[in-house]
Amino acid sequence: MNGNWHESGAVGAYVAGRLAPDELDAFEAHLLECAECRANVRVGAAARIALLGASARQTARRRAAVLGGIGLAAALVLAMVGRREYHRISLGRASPPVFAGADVRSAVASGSRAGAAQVDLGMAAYAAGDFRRAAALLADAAQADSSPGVSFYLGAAQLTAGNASAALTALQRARTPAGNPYANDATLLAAKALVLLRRPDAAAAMLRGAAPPGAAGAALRAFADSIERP
Amino acid sequence: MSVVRTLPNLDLRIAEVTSGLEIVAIRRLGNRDDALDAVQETVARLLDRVRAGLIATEAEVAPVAWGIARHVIADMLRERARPGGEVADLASPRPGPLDELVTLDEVRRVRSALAHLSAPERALLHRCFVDGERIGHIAQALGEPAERLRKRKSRALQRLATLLGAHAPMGHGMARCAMEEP
Repeated sequence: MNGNWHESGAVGAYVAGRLAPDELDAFEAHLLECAECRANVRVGAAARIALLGASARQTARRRAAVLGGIGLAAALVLAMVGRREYHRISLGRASPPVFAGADVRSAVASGSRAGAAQVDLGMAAYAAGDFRRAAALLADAAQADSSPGVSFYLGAAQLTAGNASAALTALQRARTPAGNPYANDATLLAAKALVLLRRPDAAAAMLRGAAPPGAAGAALRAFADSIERP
Repeated sequence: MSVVRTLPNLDLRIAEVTSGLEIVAIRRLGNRDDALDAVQETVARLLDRVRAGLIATEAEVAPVAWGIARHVIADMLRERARPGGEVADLASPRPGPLDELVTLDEVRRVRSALAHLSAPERALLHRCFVDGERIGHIAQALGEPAERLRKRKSRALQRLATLLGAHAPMGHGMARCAMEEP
């Protein structure tokens, strides 16, 4: 049986939750006696989380590249069809919001280790696609740290998890101070939240008010146009 | 002399089964706190049996521990009023109970280590640990010999382990928590 477990790749199936029910008991009994399989389960479990996060980022980039061509209006329609796709559709730009932990940590104003750890946990959940958990963890973190980075991903997580109202509050925080790295992205997502809350006029007004002149504001103005188009 | 010490290598066997019990308990119970309780209860009952002379050889330690653990975990699940020892559906690509087995730092380390693997190695690990495909099935899909894929996967896991610090113990050392002298 040892050889069978090792040759068949049962460890991967176990970590992915796809081991057949009639094999589960026998494999778990085997785990108590096989150091190699135990080690591979641990490494595999960590690799699974890391790979899931990488897959989510790749899909976001591909989808954002396509939608950059289609335009924000189409992005909005698609976003409203599937709330789960929000973070992937992102903003219709070539680069999706960066959600690597280091980038958010750099925006953390407080130096507390406990606060930074809570942000890390929230971002890991976000990267792994567990937006409800990410929202809960980042909401806790935001009590001590309302910096734009934390507020932005809190809002993004809440929006993806279906709580547009709470998302709007967090995203409005992420818009200040004006010109911070998350301000434009937060404005776009806040506008999406307003549309979901059936306040398209407010969304369009916010977008036009926040759009800087020239190319930098093009995405916001385009989104406003798509909302106001009859 | 304590009865506990009459079984050779008992400490080592207990540490091994505890490490395995941690994995099983986290998967079946869904969180670390309950898993720690289950492991400690199981080891306590196991040591009682050793003291009572009910375990004659070290080879019996693992199977007896397994039997005890199943009952302990089933009792805990019944207390939670979950029907029939039901476990969370891990087939979803979203995070599952086994994710509590590893710390955020370990995930970060593995993420960095994955960048050092080749694309085919990463793709194979994805199919194994995210999609849960068996080697035979992957071999058929790719048109490659299964043995080659086994070696590729084994090399990739060994490289990850090396980059993480040569099989440095991961997890939170439940073995140390669970083992207490009477």
